[in-house]
Amino acid sequence: MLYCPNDVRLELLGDEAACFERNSGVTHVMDAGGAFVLSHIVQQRGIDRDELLANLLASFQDEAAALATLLDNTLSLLLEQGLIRATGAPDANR
Amino acid sequence: MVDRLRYTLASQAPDVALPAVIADVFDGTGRYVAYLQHRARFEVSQLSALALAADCPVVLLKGAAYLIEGIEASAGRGLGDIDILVPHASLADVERRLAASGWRFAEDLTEYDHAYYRDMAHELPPMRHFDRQFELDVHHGILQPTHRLTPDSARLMQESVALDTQPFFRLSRRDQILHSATHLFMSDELRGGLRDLHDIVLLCRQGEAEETAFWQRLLQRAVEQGLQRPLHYAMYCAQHGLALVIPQHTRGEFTALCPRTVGVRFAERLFLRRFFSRPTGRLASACRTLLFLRSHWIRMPPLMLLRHLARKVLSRNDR
Amino acid sequence: MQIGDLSIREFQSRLSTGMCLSFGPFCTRISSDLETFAETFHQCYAGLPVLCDDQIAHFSVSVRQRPGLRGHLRPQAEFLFEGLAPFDPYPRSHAFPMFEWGLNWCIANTAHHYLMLHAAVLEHHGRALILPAPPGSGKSTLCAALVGRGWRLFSDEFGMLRLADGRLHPLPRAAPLKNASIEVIREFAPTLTLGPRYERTRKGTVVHVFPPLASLARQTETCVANALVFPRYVADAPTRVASLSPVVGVTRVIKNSFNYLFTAEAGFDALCQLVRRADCYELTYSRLDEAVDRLDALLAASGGLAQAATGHAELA
Repeated sequence: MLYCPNDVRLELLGDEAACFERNSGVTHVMDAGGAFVLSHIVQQRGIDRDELLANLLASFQDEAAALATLLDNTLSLLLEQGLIRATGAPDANR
Repeated sequence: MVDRLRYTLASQAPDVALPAVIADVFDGTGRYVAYLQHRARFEVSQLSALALAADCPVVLLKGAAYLIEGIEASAGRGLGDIDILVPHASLADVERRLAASGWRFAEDLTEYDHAYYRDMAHELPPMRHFDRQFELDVHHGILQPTHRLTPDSARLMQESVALDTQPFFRLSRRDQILHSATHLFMSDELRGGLRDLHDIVLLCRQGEAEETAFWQRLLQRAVEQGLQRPLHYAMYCAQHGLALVIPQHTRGEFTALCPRTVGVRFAERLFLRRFFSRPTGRLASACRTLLFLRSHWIRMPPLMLLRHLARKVLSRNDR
Repeated sequence: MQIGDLSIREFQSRLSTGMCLSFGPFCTRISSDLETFAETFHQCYAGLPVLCDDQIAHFSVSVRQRPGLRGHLRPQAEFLFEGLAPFDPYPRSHAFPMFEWGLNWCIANTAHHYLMLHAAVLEHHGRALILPAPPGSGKSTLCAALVGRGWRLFSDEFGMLRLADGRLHPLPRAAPLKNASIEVIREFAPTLTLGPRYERTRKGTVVHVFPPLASLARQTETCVANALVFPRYVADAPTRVASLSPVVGVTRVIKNSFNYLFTAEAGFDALCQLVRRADCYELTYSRLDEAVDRLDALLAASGGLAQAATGHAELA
């Protein structure tokens, strides 16, 4: 679990990823789904929830239905952690 | 100290080609110190919410203060914990807030130990974060109330300065020097060693560059707080071994800081040996024993000392 | 000049005043007044180069009789680093294992320009294998078996991944075998030179495998890792290899590292590079000969993620 929304170093390894939080010095590893989502977040800081969901679903055209539940859970977690903002909430970064 | 050495070399003799072995040693130590500093910075940021919400100023002491302010005394300096100073009256409030963010007291303390820390000491028992295992020491004074010297903590808080990048305070420059000297010479068998003495040198240089009446005001404060002796020892050792230069016109006043009795002169020799001689051999061993005895002697009146040491010995056997 | 070029007397004499040697990348000034220790050392490290007396050293250590009254009843030896003793004394007869432990201590506490792994590292035909494992996992026995088959010993204990170049640096030392594995190796690899027997140490009975001369001679030759294998000894188990994904490799290497935390982002980088270049496996075995053969095959076939793409999942 990511503790704070600060500088994150992401390295894709095969289908999965390892991630280094610069602030806390903590290292994480994650599976393909998590790696995919995180790579989007790292590229677009402060992206809002619906926009992120739309981007991700667009990448999985054929399997959108199956992925939607997985993504929904992941996105709730990310919202909780403050890595993305709730749709409609003011953007602190942009 | 090794990394402080690396820094000093790099800043004063940047073109010197280092032998491969030295470069290696500096590389290894440098990374470790960088890790310690990074970790301390992170812990300070984790405590910042508390500092903002507390009803009193929270003062960072020693290494953490140098680090957050980013002064030269933080260069090449590792630190394994954070020390903070709060007014005695705010202790309960701060303790509560700390507990709420996951800080606990170290486990293996008896009831006697707890009572000792609250009544006889100037700090709470060491605290540790339950998850990250980092150590935090909460002070409400800079020396034990039972100590021979009794500097006024309220004065320290009054003169403290807000830091720019975090919602904490630091002691004024002259208080930082006096605190460092007091901690080094009057409480812990000179455990801080050469590194702490060198910190004092860097702090003096910093103070000198920051204000014209620096040396005068340092002297005044030492007298005001009754800390002439530790300041004398710090200046004596720093001048003899670390090339600290006190301006000609004030030097006399520093020499006259405290009467150089037989006891003082003996202590001076002990300190010089501790800082600047090799640590091995019977003489060094005797030196260490004397320093150990001295550190307890000056911390509390003789009868109390006896009781304290006796109790400690007994409880060690009980375990 | 090497230690073996000195007669035992000359060596003892020079050791008593102090001499400079290199253990892998570490220049070490060592002194000792203990005769038995000097004899064992002279035999074990005959192939180590002797450096000039005025060489700057990474560590200055001393192995000597502990002074004091105990000397006559139960003599003890102490290990000194820069003149101070970092741990309790050992019985004098155990001075050699104490030295080995002490040198490990010096390295583990200071050499943070390496990512240090609790792992055996060996090289065969120019390719390097890392075997990370916690103590008591049979790693030392497996390592000794491989050395017995002619693999070059980098280390049985300390995988040294230099952060600056991402390469494994050899540190060939005496490799301790404990209890039952002593006889296993005596039988499996009779050509290996074994040291004296130390009874009732903290880890039971210990006998060291002395590093082969060839390993010592090439101790400055570094290598990149080609395979990362986590060994698991399970009594009576058939030999089995399972492929591990790189992130599992990362997780398990971190668990088997001395100082990953201190290496911060540079360590993270080195680790990611490592699992990109080296294939990760878990090896379950009970028969040493089969394990050795399987590792031979694995190493020959390994080459990192690029190769993994061509596909080899379960290798039963």
